[in-house]
Amino acid sequence: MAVPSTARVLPDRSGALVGGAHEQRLPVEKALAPLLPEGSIRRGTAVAVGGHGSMTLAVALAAEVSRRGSWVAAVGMADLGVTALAERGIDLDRWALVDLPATGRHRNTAADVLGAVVGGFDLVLLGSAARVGGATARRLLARMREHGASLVCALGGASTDIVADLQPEVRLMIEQTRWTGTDSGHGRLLARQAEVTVGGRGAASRPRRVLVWLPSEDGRVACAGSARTSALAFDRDLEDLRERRAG
Amino acid sequence: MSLEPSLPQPQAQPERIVAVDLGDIDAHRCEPVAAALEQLTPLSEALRPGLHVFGARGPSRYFGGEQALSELVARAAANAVPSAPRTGVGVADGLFAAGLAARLAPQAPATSTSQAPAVEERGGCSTSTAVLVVPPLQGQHFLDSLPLTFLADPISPLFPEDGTEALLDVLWRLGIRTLGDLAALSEADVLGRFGWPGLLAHRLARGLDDRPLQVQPAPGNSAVEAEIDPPADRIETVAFMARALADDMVGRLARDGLDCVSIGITAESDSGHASHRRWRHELRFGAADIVDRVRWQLEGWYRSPERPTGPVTLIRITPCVTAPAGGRQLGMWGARSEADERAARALARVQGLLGAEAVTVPRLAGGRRPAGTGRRVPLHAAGDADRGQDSSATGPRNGKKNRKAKAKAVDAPWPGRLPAPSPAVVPPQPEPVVVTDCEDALVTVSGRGEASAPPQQFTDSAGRSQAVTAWAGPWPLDERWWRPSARRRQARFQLVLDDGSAHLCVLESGRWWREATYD
Repeated sequence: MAVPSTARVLPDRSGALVGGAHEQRLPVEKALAPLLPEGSIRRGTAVAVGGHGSMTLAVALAAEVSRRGSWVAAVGMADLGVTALAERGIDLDRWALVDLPATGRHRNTAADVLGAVVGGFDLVLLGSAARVGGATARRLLARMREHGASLVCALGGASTDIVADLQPEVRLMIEQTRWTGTDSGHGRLLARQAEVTVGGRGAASRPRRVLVWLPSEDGRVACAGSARTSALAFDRDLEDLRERRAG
Repeated sequence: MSLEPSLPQPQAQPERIVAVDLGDIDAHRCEPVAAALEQLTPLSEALRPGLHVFGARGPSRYFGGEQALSELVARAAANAVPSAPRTGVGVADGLFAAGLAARLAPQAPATSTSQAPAVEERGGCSTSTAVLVVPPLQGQHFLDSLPLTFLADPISPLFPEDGTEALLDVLWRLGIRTLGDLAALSEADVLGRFGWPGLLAHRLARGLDDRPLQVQPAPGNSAVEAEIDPPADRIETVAFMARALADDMVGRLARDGLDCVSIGITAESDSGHASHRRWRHELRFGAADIVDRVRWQLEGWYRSPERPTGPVTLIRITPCVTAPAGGRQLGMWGARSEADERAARALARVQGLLGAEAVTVPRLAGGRRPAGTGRRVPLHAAGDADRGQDSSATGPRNGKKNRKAKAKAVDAPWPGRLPAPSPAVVPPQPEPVVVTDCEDALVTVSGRGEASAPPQQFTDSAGRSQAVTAWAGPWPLDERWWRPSARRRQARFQLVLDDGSAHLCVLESGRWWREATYD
């Protein structure tokens, strides 16, 4: 059966959502808009985030939705740090954590759980522990479209290919990261600069690179240039970083 | 107040309730009380060891009135546990008033309240036994003079996540000192100003605690039981089995949207003995609460005169339920919107698939270590865990000290807590790792808090090694130094590895652990 363009078939029962039922996209913080086509997440699609820092970036992408009163579920993220959640500005009262059974024989259970969760939440974060592929992924996608739910997959060190079956509309690969603040025993971790390769389908199909603070010294996750911290300094550091890589 | 015989109150709401309060006593000492009460009524329930309640209506008719009944109960309780810190019996409308009457009975000067005292002085035992019968419909008069803080009593259904502390604080600053002051306000004003918690507090203050004592057996075959084979001779073994049973039961009830407020626990031993007791929760049982009750009951059983001579062969838990009052599961998240409903339905379905414990909500707590500053509270128990003083925290040695962490502690300064950014990945268990210096020797920290050498190499538990490119620390952490058994001394480091990842590692007793990752 041909499925018409998802954006137009969103049922009204997904009401009481961010910005009302007519809203076809989930907002992200302005500072992260350069990472996504139209600066927001299209309902019914997946965003894959890979590389070191994927957990921080995935949570940051959910912050605006959470702040506007929507519910967010984190599935298969048994090790998500609660304090870090709060630092991203998440509304903890509207955040649910769902642990998935670890063993393989529960694969069908995991699919059922994901199906149930996307039916009730506008945005679902999926940890790397939850492997979704094949028919499961197709069913999940159909359900996400039906309910207008979006998925953000935090893949950790894994490549974004492992969720290829979810046809992520946007792939954010955190390629290079650099922490500042520490120096052989002195200081402490202050800020992290990351180079994110943005790829995907449709509007995001042409890969491009975006520099992101994960987080900046003032505690924000933001694209360089939109953070209050000097973008100049970031660029200088990036040069430095590339030199190191070359050498 | 004068002593009155119990008047028939067929339509009386709330129900007449007898409460027996023995103060905080250990679980194993509460079994004789339960056994003694069983002689008087089959329906007595324990809220926790030392606080028992039952409906007054039937027994009071049989034993010749509430006063006679409560004196009988008081004598029975005092005989059962002569060494209890206090023994009080209270009869009143509703759980809240009855519980407070039992609490205050031993202190109430007999003359001024004109209650008939039944002070027992036996064999040099100075325990005073007292009864306080608050006549029907007089609950408000009884409560009027009590200080406002009784609203935070364990018997109260007001929980901190409803903002009880803030509510009491505001009321206090408005000059409201007693429950009577609160009851004098108009209900509409209280509701308008304080919302649902205020309304509940107001109703409690007016003696209108309408939590029903009579509950329905859960529909269908909701009782769960397990044969224990081989028979268990340790309470912990039974508690472990009970955990699985309780998870299963609570999950199924949650899926049906039912609150389990009362349970019957039956244990059988291979010597043919059986123990059956009923337990009640102030609000709603979570799986962990049920396991506590099983433990308490067995501790008491195995130390009672009727103790079984053999190990436990069977454990059965029978739930009694009420429909959730106003959707308690959602109430704790504040306003009910359509989005709340959708999310709650989805989570109830997930709990049905995976068990109730699989869904948790994040909560901030006071603490210094990443695992301590943020907690994950099971969804169904979020209310209980948020309470500063919950029923299980008053239980005997349950070791859940961290559940006492109050909302206040979150903002309190925790010297030694690492500043932001906090690690985004905090595994439930720290992972053993190895951190060595340039000479392949384990990095240690001296008594003066200095690292033996700069960390050079990091090896995780899977044996993968990486060079340490940057590091900070060590920061010493000496927790609970005042209690040798609970003392923890750690040195913490932040390590940045070659692949750009950063980790929080700790050195404790000569061993390295990866506690969290700045992912």
